[in-house]
Amino acid sequence: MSARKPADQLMRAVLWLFGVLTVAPFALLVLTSLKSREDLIAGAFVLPDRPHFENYVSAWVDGLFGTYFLNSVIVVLPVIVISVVLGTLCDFAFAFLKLPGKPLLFGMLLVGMMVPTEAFIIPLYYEFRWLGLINTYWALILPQVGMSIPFVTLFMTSAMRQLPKDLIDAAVADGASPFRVLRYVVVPLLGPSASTMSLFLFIWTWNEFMIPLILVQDDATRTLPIGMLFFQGKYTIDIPILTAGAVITLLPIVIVYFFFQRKFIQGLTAGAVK
Amino acid sequence: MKSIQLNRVTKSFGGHDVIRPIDLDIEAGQFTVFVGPSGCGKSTLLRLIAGLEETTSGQIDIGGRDVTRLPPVDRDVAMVFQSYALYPHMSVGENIAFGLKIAGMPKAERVAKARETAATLKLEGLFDRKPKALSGGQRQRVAIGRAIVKNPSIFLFDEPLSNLDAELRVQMRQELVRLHQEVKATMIYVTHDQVEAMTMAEKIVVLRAGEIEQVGSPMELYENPRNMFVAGFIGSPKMNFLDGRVVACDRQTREISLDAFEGRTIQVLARETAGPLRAGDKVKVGVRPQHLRVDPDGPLSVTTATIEALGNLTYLYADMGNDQPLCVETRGPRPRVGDALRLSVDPADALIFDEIGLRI
Repeated sequence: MSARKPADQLMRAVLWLFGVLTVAPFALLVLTSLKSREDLIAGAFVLPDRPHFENYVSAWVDGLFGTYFLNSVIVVLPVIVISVVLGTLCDFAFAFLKLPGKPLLFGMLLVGMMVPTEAFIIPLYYEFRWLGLINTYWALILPQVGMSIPFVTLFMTSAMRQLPKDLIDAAVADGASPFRVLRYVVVPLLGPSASTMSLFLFIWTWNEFMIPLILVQDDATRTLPIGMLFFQGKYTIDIPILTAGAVITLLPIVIVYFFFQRKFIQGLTAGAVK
Repeated sequence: MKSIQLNRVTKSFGGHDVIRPIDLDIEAGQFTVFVGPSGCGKSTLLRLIAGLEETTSGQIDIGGRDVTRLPPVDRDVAMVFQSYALYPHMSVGENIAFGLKIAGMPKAERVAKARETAATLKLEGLFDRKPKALSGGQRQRVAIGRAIVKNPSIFLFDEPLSNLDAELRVQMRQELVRLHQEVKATMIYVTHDQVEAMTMAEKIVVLRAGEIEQVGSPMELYENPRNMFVAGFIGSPKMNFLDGRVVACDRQTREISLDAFEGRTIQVLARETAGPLRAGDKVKVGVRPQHLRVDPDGPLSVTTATIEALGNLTYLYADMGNDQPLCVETRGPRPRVGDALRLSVDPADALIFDEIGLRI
């Protein structure tokens, strides 16, 4: 281990550099969130006399971050569950069932991924107003599901195509219906891919800005990024409380990433074939 | 135990004919081997019988019943895949019992059946292990157990031993033959390995480019191949083919001059069913390596180019000026590279093929 190649050492140095560049701003953010306003004036890199956790209490209670946080959770969980379930069914159909016009349907789904939110946000607003869903959780969940399904389908179809075809054939030969093949063979093996997918959806939905900004105007249904925006307006001068709000917004993503990280490296198909 | 009949069965993928019209009868309880080179359609034919592919045209009967449009589960077949296709997230027991679970058998009953099957395959100690914790041979046994437990009338094997090492392959070959004797089911076994075909089959079906070249018992195919393809495919090392010309014919023998031996002639016994052959006709003469005898008075002289010594016998190869060296099996004194030898052929041991490769 001691005699590493110079190329390896260089690679490690580059990785460390990128690691520090990525982590440093977050470290500074957390540091600032624990300071008093006086500590802040003393300098950006100066340590506080003691950690000021009361900044978090202020952001959570006065800044309504408790409400925003709950709203984000209420929106994110159904988006992940509905998108992954519908996307997986969609994938299975694309990967293994005989459907007329499969390439055309797949192409249409891809188009769904290419259209930017800005292009349809105004008609979407009018549709939701007509449906009476403005300022409801549905206004945050349904468009997000619609935008997620093409992504899930594309991502999971390639994962599903990598499953050994013999496994599906073996299940069919064992008498399993398409639904049972999906239930007993495909879904258990797609666990790692579904976890990765769920993480993407979580980050994507958690950070979604445009749709909640336009379709929700009530504090009671605002999610964290929008709450953060309005909070900024109110607390521009109190940087420590503002950064505490930013940490509250970020923390779930970091925690979820650590939780799912182990899933990424699991090779569930080991021993399946050959 | 059920018979299988294929009537004018075809399969095309995107306009490309993978299986040309095939007629085939497989008797109940028979061990049949489909053999042929890669891409000849043997696995596709097996999948058509299994119901994993739909026929483009034709009819498949199993046990006298038309199953052409039935799904695999209604055909009373079980299949063992080349890749084993074990469910990686299930234990050995769950893998074996999966088909029974799908069929709706109560848990206690199916576990008992799976245990019984595992015991017959010497897998008792591995019942709760996942496939990734098994060796190649053990995985193959689980795959076979998954087929046996359903007690099907027909077993289909798609090159099941090709991922095993040579020693294990020989062992598993014997186990499969024993299994056939025990369960007495109809079995179809696909392989590209003619040694597997010869050692296991009661009936061999030789396929090439989606068509059946010949059907028969191993010895029938070996001794009486219908064409050059079958003659060359069955037997190891493969049969030598020599270009020649008919010099003279009578009722019993043909005299053939061989191009590679400066026109030296050999005698070949005529087949009873042989077609007309005239002096001057171009032919190919097929001789198996063990039928070329080292004989100081033989008409054919060769120089040894390479040698393969296997202990009890030696294969010597002589350069014939093309990419197909002449292979000779010898026993006794081992020749050396560069030795000049003379060879002879017994007239009864050589076969004659016409220009397009059909046996005459």
